[in-house]
Amino acid sequence: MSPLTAALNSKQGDLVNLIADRKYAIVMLVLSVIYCAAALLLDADFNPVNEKFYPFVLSVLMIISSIGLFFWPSPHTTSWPKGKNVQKIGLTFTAILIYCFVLHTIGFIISASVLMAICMWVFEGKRQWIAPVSIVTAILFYILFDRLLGLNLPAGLLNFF
Amino acid sequence: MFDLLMQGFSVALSGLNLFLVFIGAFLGTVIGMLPGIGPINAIAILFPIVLQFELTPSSALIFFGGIFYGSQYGNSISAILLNVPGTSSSAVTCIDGNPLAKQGRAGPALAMSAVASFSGGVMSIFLLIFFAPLLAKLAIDFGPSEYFVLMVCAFTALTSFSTGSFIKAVFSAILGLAIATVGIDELSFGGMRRFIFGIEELGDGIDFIVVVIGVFAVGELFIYLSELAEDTAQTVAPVKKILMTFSELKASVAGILRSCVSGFVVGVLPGAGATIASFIAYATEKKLAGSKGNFGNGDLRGVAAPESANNSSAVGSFIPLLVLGVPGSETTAVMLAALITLGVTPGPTMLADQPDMFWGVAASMFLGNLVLIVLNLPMVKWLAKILLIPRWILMPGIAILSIVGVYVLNGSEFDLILMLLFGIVGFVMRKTGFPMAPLVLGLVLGGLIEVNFRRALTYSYGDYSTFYGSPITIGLWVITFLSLVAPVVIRLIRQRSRKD
Repeated sequence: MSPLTAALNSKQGDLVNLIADRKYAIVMLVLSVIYCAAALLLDADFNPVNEKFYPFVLSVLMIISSIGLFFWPSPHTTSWPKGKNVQKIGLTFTAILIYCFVLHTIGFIISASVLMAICMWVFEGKRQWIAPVSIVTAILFYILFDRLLGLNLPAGLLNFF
Repeated sequence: MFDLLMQGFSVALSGLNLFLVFIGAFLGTVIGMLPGIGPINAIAILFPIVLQFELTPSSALIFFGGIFYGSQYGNSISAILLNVPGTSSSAVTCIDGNPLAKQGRAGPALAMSAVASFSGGVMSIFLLIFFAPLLAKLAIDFGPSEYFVLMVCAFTALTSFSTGSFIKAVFSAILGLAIATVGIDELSFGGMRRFIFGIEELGDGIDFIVVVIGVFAVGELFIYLSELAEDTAQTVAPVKKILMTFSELKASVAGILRSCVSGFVVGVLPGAGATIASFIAYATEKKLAGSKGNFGNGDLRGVAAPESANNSSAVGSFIPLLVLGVPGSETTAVMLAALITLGVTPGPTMLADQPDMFWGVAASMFLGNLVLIVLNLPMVKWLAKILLIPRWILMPGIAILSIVGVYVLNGSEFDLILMLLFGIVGFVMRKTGFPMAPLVLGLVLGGLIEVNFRRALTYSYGDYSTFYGSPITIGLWVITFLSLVAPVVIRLIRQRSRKD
């Protein structure tokens, strides 16, 4: 069965999914073209043994597969998160992002316990347990990695610890 | 061969390695049990520790190997008791394992899973030490062009056997290869830096650990959050008597043997791996049992077959990794990346040049399986208590642990931000149906595939016939073609048999 007849025979839901795949194909194509342009802008001869040719070949293959997906989309079900779950993902993402930036200044124990607490809250943990569990976990990880294994974690504000 | 194996045992039995086998097997069991963490992210998290203690490549591989096959034991515990597979390779074990637990027969199910895992694991080690040297002899003449074609073959098999859209799998693989081109190009004169877009931190390239943790730990966290329902309270089935009866064991022996062989073959082939091995084993046994079986409602044979198969395929997947240096699955790909970082590139000459490595790992697998059967039979009652940790502690805890792993690698905040970005990329790709295995394999093999491609063309003065001129390359192209056609043929046969 060709993709076209598949699309015609399928129900409305499948059609939506085929359109979704086309959207992804366009995103893929944009990425591939950027990569292709970056490859062509490399300051080297266009010789198979040089550093320019191989990424160019990759980008061409990427462009071909993007176009391929556009014309042969596959029916599948994408269930994007809704409502509360989007907020939860957004909150976790922001928390990790802030963690990345403050880790060095305020140190591992404080930033990790706050991050852990936020994650536990997002996972709907029992309220009264969130603070003790997150602090204990952060301290345990600090002792394990920094003190026992000798892998340095920033002490930050608690540099007397 | 016997001498070499004894030499291997002397490596595996040395103090440190024995300790690593034990710890690896134990950690593997725990990691296999827990959802949200599998051998792949566990290896990525533990890699900085391996670097810190300056473990030799063979010790590192003994350790990681223990984690890998240990996780195949552990994942059935949560599959049986919780109806949630610890890792996807025991998804089929749920089908019969959990009904057994609900009937109050969790003990026999766990015992059967442990015995089948052990038998599958140990028998496949014999297959490994028999077939690996044969294959190494065959591959000894491989030059850059043969390697390049071999890797193309591995990618084709991986993408054509992956579930879902073939085109998406191909794109995933090439995206992985493209990510691998970021940073210094070691072949060019003076080391040209490519695709860094003005970001100095990208100059050394993107570390595989950052991508693996981003995609498999952070991405997984987002996936969990996107599917989080209101109430996910789970009940852990109680474990009473551990052993099954002798007749039950006898009924499963044939299935364990068959699944071991099929699992091993699937494990050796690129792209398939433990999950598919367990599915094939289960389907075969169900079909063979016919109406006499109680499959789906709690048949011990339905636990034995997939558990034998997934352990055996885990061992089998060491063949392409160690003999060819071209891994066929995500987890072995991460092991390869770790080995390359430690300064070893496995290949056919390794068996002859560094016998300690291959034979040490093989011997350690015997020891590891002994440790695992002890952990999983008499001690399974206590181990199962780990499943009582509530998910709202477990998932954040695993997330923090993963993030620590990325940071301690280079002590860089940039790596953390990159990890978060790859978390989003992994989340979106998985939601939109792009498989992750080709991406990881592409990332890990990217450097090697480019080096071999350019070297082959340098040796042949730009003549492309080097890629199809020798008997080996022609043979590899034939296999590549067959792996492209096979899924289509299998689908056609299935459709026809359904019509009949």
